[in-house]
Amino acid sequence: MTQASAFAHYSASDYYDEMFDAPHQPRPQFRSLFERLATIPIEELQRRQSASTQSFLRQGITFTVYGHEEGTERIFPFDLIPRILTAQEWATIEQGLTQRITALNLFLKDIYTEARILADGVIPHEMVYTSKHYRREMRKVELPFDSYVTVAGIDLIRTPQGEFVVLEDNLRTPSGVSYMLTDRSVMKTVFPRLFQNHGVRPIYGYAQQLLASLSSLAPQRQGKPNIVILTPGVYNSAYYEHTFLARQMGIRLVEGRDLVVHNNRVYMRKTSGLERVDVIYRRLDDDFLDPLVFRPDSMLGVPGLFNAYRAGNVGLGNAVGTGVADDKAVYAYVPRMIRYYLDQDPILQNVETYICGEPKEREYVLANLDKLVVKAVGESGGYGMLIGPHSTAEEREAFREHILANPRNYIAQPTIQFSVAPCFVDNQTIEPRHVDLRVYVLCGDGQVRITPGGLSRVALRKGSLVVNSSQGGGSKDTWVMFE
Amino acid sequence: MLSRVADQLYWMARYLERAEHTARLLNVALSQSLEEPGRVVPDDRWNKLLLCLNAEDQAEKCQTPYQTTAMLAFDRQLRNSVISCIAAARENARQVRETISSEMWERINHLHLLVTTARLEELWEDQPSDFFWEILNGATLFHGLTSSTLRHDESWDFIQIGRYIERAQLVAHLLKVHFDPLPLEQFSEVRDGDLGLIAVLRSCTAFEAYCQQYTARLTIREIVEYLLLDREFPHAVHFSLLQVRESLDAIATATDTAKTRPVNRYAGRLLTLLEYGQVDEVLQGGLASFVKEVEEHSARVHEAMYTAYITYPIEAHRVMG
Repeated sequence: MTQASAFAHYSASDYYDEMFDAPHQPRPQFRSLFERLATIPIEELQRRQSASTQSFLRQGITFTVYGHEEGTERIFPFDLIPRILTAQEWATIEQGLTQRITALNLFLKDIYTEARILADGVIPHEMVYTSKHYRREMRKVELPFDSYVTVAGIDLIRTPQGEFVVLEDNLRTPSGVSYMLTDRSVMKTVFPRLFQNHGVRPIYGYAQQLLASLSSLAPQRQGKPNIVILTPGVYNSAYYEHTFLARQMGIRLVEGRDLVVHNNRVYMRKTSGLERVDVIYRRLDDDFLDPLVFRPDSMLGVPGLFNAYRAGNVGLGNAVGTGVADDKAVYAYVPRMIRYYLDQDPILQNVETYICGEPKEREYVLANLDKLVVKAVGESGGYGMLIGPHSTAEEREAFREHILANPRNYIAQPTIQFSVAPCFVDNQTIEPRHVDLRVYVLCGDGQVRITPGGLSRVALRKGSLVVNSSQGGGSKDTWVMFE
Repeated sequence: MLSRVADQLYWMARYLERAEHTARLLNVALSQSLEEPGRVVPDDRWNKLLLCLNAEDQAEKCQTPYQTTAMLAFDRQLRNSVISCIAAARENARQVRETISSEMWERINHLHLLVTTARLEELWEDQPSDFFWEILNGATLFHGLTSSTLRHDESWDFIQIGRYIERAQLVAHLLKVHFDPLPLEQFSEVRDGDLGLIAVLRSCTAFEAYCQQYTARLTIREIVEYLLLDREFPHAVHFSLLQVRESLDAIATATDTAKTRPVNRYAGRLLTLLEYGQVDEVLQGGLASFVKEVEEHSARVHEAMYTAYITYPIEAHRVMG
């Protein structure tokens, strides 16, 4: 077999490799891609890599990094080499996530109404009521189709055994879907011929499916519902995505100051006067949604919005209060939720999780800080995290103090050496890098819709296990094969 | 259209027009110095440049053409510098990205990359006016793309208003800086080949158009007449205000509200100044006071437009659907 020049120094690793099942032996679904890449000289890869960077820069597809000088815009690094999933692998993911999201929706409905699962002792009361994302205001609020989670971004990783497991559920305002879609379109322009005869399932239906899911949240009124996307504004790191989705769906992008509540109904301020709004796809956290109910210092929200919502005069996707179900401690109970509500065994497993709120588990965590990954339960984006094997003694000491001061706020998981995929790094060589997979799940009118693909995020720093864009991560196009 | 979007399109266009004006003035000044090699450059020219751009308070830091160019083109602290205006225009564009076309966005983003990555030290070695040409061409391309890729609906009209109300004020101000006060008899003096006058015309891309109208015989009176009162030349104040009125009328129709609104009335009144104005009367009454009147009326149009479409109070009868 010809060996791709760029693969010349590709080191086999101990982890599951997405592309190879033995050194220089590509898995069947990667064979023709590998052979094609073998014919492309490094210079050509460099040229295409730079073409893709230029393409992102020219389109202004950038995100803002927090904690740096204000207004630092960066592009999200894009890796040229796609990741390929077989139809069979995808079928498992699809079934597993449908099952999981169904249970999570039932859980949310339950805890905001009867709270049976708590009464039956499957999940401790305090686990739910101490979550900072639990919203008492949502008790007994009726929602169309009992639909709480409209958009979920579920993070999967592949274990050394090759199994996909769920690492995190993101049920508030998950981002990144625009990168899933633009990675594909950049891939098509940079490597047009690579697509031919590959039998890749298309992903362009995402925007229509999102629109359909959002429409189902509309209050019953005459005519086509007026749907808008609510952004925190241009300083939000995902602002590009908000404009992207607004354009893809053909709906208006609004900021809090564009909306007013009048007679318990929501309107947008137009040059011609006020126009009624039926559904808001909000990309704004609960805390900032309505200063009259949540954080009073929020300048981003809409005063009176929550009352209009509770009265059923406007739909919100996602519903208020979904964060309690993606609390990293509540996460540990999802397999039990699946058994409780659906009477099924989970198709996709969780990562083993130690809850620091439980004295015994806390002891174990404190004794093994150097081996575990510790996470703050309410955080996302890779913030508030300790990766034991890569940490210093001072960092571990700091986390020990954090955990003891507020045990409920922390969980720990074994450090999983999740799978690697070949990446074109430093513009000169192909090397394995760790990669996860965020899959976007849409729900509405009782249907679950999952776009075949997702965002494969890579930890571009050698050996790093952190894939978040804010922490030096990049992404690759993800192909799901028809068969 | 969303009120905020209207507001941002308007400012996007205003800032871009301002950036273009500054770039053009710099370009003219720089190429003018090439045309008079060896001659002692009168300080006056660079001072006037600062005055035209309302940057006279920076005079101390602008002792040389290099310093002046650095300040007016690349100083982020200066609100009217090319870089500040392009950054502001792009920032406004970024916030209405779902309204404008991708082509427009990519072009203004490109302009922004162009000015943020440029280094004056390097440009100065070579030919700095090439750089300003590139900016002006980029802006022109943006206008062309706006015209050919954006629906000519309200969004287009708010862009037009921003662009032309800014232009009217910039050109009026430029005339005031250059020609006021001046003894009356000087207005009619023929000054053929006066590089300063040619520069004024070039600052409004008007030299060739002026020559076609009046031949190459240059008098200040005719330059003022042309740049102020011509209704067909795109950089003339009169032409610009016609565009403003046209777009305000279109918006009134599109938003289904009567044209008797104050904003349309003010725009009409402002236009009357130019429509029935006569150059000798303007000069006799004082160019400065005429320009002041234009500026005051423009400010009123701006405010009335905001009250009508953008910051209106919420009244029940404006509620639809």
